Amino acid sequence: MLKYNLIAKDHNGRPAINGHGAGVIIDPIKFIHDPSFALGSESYGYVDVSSILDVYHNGFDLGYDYLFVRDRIIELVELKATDSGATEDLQEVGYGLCTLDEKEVLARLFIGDLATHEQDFGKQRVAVWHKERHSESTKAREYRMLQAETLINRELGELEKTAIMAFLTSLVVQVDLIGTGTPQTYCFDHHKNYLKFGRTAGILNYFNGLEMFAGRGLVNMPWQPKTLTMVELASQLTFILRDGVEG
Amino acid sequence: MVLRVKSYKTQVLKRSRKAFAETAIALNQANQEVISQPQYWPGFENSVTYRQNGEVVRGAFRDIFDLGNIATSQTLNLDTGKASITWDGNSETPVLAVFYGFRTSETYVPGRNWIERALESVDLAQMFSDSFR
Repeated sequence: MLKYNLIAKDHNGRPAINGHGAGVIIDPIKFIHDPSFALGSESYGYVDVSSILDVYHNGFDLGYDYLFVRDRIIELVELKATDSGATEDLQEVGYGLCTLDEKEVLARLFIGDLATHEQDFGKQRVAVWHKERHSESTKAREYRMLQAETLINRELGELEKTAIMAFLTSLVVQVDLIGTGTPQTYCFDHHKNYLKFGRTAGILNYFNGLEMFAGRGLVNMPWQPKTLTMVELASQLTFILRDGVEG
Repeated sequence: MVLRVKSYKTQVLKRSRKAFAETAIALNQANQEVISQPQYWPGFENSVTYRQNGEVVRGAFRDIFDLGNIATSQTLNLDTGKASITWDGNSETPVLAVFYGFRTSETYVPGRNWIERALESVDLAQMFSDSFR
């Protein structure tokens, strides 16, 4: 889905027609028009930052989907580093050796090493643990998406940029369709009573031939991968990381 | 003595909401027109497209209609001071691929940013200002 947001804001960036606060601010109205992606569902964003934080703070494991995708990406980046003649020290290859462009590509896919990403792009401001965490998570996601787009716009030629954006769009959509951002993943990551729903099945179960949604209460949930397999997805990502995009 | 203070806040709010709504509706309409009416889309100069509706389209002057999924799925969600327009292609047409372009092993199809094109015909700030008066 493509979504275009139109928001009236005042000169301080606050909503201009809200009817609250000290008064009504009409002038100057500026329109924040944002041709943004609508990446499926809200839960897609939650998988991103919040899942990282679950590990970061609590140490418990998170949605299989996220881990699987992340590992595949790291593997591909390692491959890139090796092929480009970089050091073979496995401690050095991977996300840390990516160019900023590539890191932003990975950020766009919501994947990467949190510590390195923070070092380059600043700490994610997802400080509030409970109810406000969700909105903060969404903000962090949108900010990173914006960064990625800005950088791609600035660094790349028009045609190549278009191709890359199209490529990333299709990748993101495919990831979304295949295995992330499901309500079940959300429940596992966020629902206080997630044990009631059972552990979340994910893409890894699928590739291991296990029954999807075999957890308690979810046995009969349908699950169909709609487009590429993760292996095909990974091969496409290899292409963009190693060979660039055809102009 | 009773001091009465007359507030225009309600009136101003009402007018601004109305102006915003009219602006959003105008942009919605402009998008619909860009999608439905033939326009010049760079990158298609030498293209021949065999559409699913049977039409054969040659060259860069073309609409984005085909089966009409993008146009008919366009939805305006209007709220106070904020609005959004969405396209889901009726789950049949890959909207993002059309919007940003896509690449296959044989060819590259440029994107067609109809939102940008619509914004060329609707000056949002001016529209709001005119409606607010």
